Amino acid sequence: MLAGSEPAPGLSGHAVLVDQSDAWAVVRLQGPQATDVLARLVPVDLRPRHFKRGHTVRTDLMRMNVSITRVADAAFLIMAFRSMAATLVHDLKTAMEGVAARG
Amino acid sequence: MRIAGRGRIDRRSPVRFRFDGIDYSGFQGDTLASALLANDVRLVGRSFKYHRPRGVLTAGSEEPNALMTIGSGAGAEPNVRATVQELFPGLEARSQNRWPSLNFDLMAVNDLAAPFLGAGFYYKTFMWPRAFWERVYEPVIRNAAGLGALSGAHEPDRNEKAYAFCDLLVIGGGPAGLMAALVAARAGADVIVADEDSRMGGRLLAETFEVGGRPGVNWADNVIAELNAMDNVRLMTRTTVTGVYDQGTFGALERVSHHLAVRPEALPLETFWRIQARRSILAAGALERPVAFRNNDRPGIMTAGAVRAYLNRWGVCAGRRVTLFGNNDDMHRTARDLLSAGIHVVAVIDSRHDAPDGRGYRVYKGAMVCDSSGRRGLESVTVRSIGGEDRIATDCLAMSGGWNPTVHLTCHLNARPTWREDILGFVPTPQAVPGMSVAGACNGAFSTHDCLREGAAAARDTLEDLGLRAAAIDLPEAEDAPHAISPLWAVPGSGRAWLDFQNDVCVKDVRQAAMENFRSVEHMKRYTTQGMATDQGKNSNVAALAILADVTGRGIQDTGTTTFRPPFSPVSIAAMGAGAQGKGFAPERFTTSHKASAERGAPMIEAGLWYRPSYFPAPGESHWRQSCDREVNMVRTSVGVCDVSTLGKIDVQGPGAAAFLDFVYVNTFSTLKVGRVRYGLMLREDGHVMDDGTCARLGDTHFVVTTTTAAAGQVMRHLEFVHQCLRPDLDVALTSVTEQWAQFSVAGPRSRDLLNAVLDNPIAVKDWPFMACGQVFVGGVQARLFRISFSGEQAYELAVPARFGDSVFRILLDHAEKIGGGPYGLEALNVLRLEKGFITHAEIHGRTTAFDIGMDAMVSDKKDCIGKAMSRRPGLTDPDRERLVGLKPAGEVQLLVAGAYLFSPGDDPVRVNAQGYVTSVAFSPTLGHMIALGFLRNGPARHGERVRMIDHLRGLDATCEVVDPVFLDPEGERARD
Amino acid sequence: MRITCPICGERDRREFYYQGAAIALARPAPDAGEAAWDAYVHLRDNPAGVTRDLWQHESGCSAWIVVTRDTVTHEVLDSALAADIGMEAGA
Repeated sequence: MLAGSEPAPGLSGHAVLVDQSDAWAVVRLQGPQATDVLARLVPVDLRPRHFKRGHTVRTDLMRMNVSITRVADAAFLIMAFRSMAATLVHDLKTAMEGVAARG
Repeated sequence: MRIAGRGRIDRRSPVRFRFDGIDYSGFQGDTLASALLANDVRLVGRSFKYHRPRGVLTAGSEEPNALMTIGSGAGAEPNVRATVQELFPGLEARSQNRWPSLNFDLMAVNDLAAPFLGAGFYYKTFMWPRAFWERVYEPVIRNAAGLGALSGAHEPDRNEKAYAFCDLLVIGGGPAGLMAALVAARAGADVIVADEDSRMGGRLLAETFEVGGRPGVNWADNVIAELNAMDNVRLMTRTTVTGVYDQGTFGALERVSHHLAVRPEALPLETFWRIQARRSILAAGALERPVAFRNNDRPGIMTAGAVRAYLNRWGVCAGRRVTLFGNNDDMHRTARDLLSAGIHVVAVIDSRHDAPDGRGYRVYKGAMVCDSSGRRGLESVTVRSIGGEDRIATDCLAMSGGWNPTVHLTCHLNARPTWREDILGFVPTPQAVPGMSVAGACNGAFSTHDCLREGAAAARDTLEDLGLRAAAIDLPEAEDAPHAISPLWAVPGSGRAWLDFQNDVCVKDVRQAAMENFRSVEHMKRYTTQGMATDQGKNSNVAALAILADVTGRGIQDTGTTTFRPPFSPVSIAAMGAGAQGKGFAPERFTTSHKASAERGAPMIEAGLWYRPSYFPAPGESHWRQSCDREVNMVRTSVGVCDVSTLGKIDVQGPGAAAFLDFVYVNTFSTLKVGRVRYGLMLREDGHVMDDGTCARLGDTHFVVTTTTAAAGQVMRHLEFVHQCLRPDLDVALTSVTEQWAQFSVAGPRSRDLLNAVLDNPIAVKDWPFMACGQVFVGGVQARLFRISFSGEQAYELAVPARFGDSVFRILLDHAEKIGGGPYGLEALNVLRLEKGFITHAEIHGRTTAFDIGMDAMVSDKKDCIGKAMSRRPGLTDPDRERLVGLKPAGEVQLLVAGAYLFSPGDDPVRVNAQGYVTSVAFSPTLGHMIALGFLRNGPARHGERVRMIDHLRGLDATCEVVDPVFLDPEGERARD
Repeated sequence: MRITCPICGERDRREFYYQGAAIALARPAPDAGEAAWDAYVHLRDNPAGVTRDLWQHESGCSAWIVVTRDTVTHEVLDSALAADIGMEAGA
């Protein structure tokens, strides 16, 4: 997946390029407890020691197929199918509330 | 009673609570059990079968007697162990399994019937008369069964699931576990320590041992503080590791807020963790065994270790005149602690002839307790020794039959533990769980010194496996007493000696099971129900199998244990299902036109995970049929707009794309011209239809495949399978673009007019023949247009990038309404296609073939394809198969029903005479009557025949005429206009 | 259960879709006859021991992989991309 810039001009000679710019709902999750929040939802080890800045993974978030990238020390870029945007927000919000309530 | 100067409760914080309607007071740090004992409440429950009065037996999660209901209303929780429930202000507890009260329980009449209620009685009774089983016995037994009751209300609390990862999972935070964690953490390993208790420390919290010259509790506190400060350590209290699973996966239940009086709304009650650990160390300690003797179940009879725990941790003594009984040094340890707290120790009854002398208390050597008295609370015990029988007045008996290492987790992957005669207990078998070491009491090492030593050693070995170096570590000094024990499973004598307190199973029940030839331990368990209650036999398994071994003349290792399975202690279904309540159950998928549709009041139906509008009610319409009929007419006379984005769209590109599609479809796509669309059928390899759809060729090496909504995921997976597994030689790329494009059907005689009001460049008829496709522009945005029809009218599908979906939908409706058109929903969509005999998954339901739906001619004989070979099986091409037909009412009954069966008139309407069945029905406003599609034996040859449509469940009996499935415009001219 | 995807690394088995035995890779020729096709579509061994299955990493990279595992010990012994393995008969 190429994100954030137009593909280089000659690339289509070597690969099939399919525009998916409208297919994903994208959110940024940030804060010191962002990793704890995602621990409620994602079956992959996202702790800073193992999932460093710039690392990316395709996995599940609850029952959704997602892409997760650590974009800063305490921030993640999360992408889910556009049609599931409401569920993404709902599931993240529920996890955030649960983590925040522990104080 | 409460003892001054003892215990680690906070005496500055009194806590008020209520038990069975009476108010009491305890302290912060108490459990419900310790607080009740401090208030001299000994009677806490009634046993399951005989309703015998019971008291607290233990101080831990293995408690079999003190099961209570905590709370009231929707959040009431049954079967909570009072020994685990932390006290909080306002806690409300009620005893269970008694009526009308704990003190006076009518069901105790069962105790009198005991001779008839022994092991396996239910296999021998309730058989006659037969009719009574369902009407009398079962309801009565159901009512009497069980302990606590559920509230029956909706679960009000949130629960959570979570994932954790580590290098090392240490299970148990006692001396062995803390030592292991310290060694591993200091070497840089990623460590998680889990302990079921509210604080770490294990047995050190209950004993007066010193570690490194200071109280064991202080040593533990220091280690905990050091571990807490480390980044690479996570301490999880109130967390029970419930199960071991393959490849280093562990389940653990964290009791997050059971101990809080006021719970913040978003705080979960429990969190169920999945922990992935490269290595693990089991340091789960050991559980004390009671001793079986006649009437050993009275309130006031407890395990010796529990008596010490209540004294040293909670400052509570369970009685004023304490007697001790058992076969090892634990009674003496308890006697010393009691004496030092000023409590009267009546005597220690030691079954060993070589028992040590007591310092400050009397010892009966080579003696046993053989009976007790005091129905609602212990009053005396009878001691049998060489000199005869003595009756001793006592209100608390602390018994110890030895210790059972807590081996359970090592056996979850089907291993069995190993018997050790020297400690009279089972220990884990090495390598029982890959990557798990064992340390401390759960490994049969009972002294504090041994626990510390084994914990450190296990950590060092584990660090080597992990490629880390352990720093040298000094083992603090600690007691190293040997474990001197002599066998004592049951005191000989008549009467009932209790083994399983929860299920009311006695020694004589085990003997009876063996006598009736239930000699294997698995059979004994099921026949007597020993070990089948919520404590899963933690207090009785070893004693029961020792007795079974004895009675059947085998050794204990030969008799063996039953299978250990997760969970170690009960886990609520709410925790297992966390996150799946309400909207969390499954993702919801919304189209780009959802908002606009909802604004128009369209009710939604669920199509898989998608929400799609059913119909669009116009002002004045009060019934769905009015809207549906209107929408059908609108599409057939003007134009309708419907969001069809949910259908799967798969982009297929590459030099091998055409050959690939020829292989997955029954018909040929390599011959499809650029700029054209073709209907296609895909089979499963067993020759039945998998899915249908259209495929558009946008370029020489560029196709877009559509699938039905329901099968989108399945087809994508299938195509990937075919490519990667069967034809990796083909150079083709597959991409799902269902989400990328919002796609709308524009259907009706005025569809071109509507499009031309919206497209940047109007389209001419000659440029866009039926089944053409290509690029167009809408408001400067690059879009795709496909001239395909699911309604049978002239129709198109317009696809725009999803970000423009809402906008384009609104613009289309705006213009449509100006020419008598508008939106239409799924009901009308279905009527339209039915009138044209087009199939959906109602017809291609998984057991129909291309032949059945009349598309056999589509299967090319010039090439192979998925399913081709198997589709040629004679059974799949027999003309007498049930084949697609249309049906219309031909008699008085005008109602047709999907799911009904078809019979020849005159045949008895039973299953064996069924000629076919109905798959789809609708009222056709165009034709003025109901129509249906179905499958009928040799259907195509029977047009014009009358059949009976029977639905026994709904009481329908309608005469129908078999007709061509295409009810309208059989030449298909309207779409080709 | 953990499965190692050759592309993504070790993951929870919930990220994968299980298809069945890897024999599905050995598709018979169109004219191989009824018995061969019946065996291919319907008949499977059920070993107490090593088995080779087809799984797809559905939540990850969509790769189809052949996983070799032991149904008795539950060890996962190997995993490889199906596309690499190709079409060996009798897989």
